[in-house]
Amino acid sequence: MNLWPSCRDVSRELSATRDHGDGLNWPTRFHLLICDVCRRVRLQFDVLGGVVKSATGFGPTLSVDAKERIRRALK
Amino acid sequence: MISDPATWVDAHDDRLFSYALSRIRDERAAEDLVQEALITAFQARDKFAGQSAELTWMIGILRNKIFEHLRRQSREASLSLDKDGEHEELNFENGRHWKPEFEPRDWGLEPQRSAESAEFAIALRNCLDALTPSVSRAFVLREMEGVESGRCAEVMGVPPNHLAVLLYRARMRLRRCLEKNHFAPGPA
Repeated sequence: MNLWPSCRDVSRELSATRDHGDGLNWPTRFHLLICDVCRRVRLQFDVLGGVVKSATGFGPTLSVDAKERIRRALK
Repeated sequence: MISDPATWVDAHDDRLFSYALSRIRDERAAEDLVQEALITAFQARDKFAGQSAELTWMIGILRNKIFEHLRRQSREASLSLDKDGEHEELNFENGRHWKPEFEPRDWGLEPQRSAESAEFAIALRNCLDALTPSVSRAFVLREMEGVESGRCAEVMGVPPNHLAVLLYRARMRLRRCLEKNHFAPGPA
């Protein structure tokens, strides 16, 4: 375990812990206590993971041709 | 009770299409997946138990189609990690601390609320489009579809540590891109 992780190490650790489900190790937690920027990264990774699931309201809609094709397929 | 399939296209197509398009980068492929999902729903309509809304049931079918699509794409893609990982290293001074010009900025008090807007959806799509295909697929599977990481690696045909690298790249790039284009636009 790296006892004095850098911001780079912490950003990697923050990403990895979102996926393997383990808690943050204590050097990372300590780093977060003293580093505003890395706390921001943590929050931003959390926001990314939370908001993208519901972000489906993109502008483009199904084309007229595609609608027609699907209507025919459903008959 | 399920509605008349003749009304499905008008009732659900745009929601299904925007769902598919938010997860894959190709409009034509998204159209095909919506069509496949609606045909599957049509064939299985007798099994619809009415325990969820019709649209929710159809999105469940569409999710499986998207999952299969991403699996196929991963099989066809090269499994090697590209060299563009150096991109992330540019954020850090001597590989350690954030360079001032790349330091993450404050996203405001309620970033979740800000992310409910149509502008966010467009910014997210543009940022996802800017990712390399394998990085984008990893992010879509893991964060948008909520696939457990072991399964995600299996679907993508990559070792877990390779997936971790892809997800790290995705998060770092999306973070930066959304910050520049949505949350905190400005000189930087």
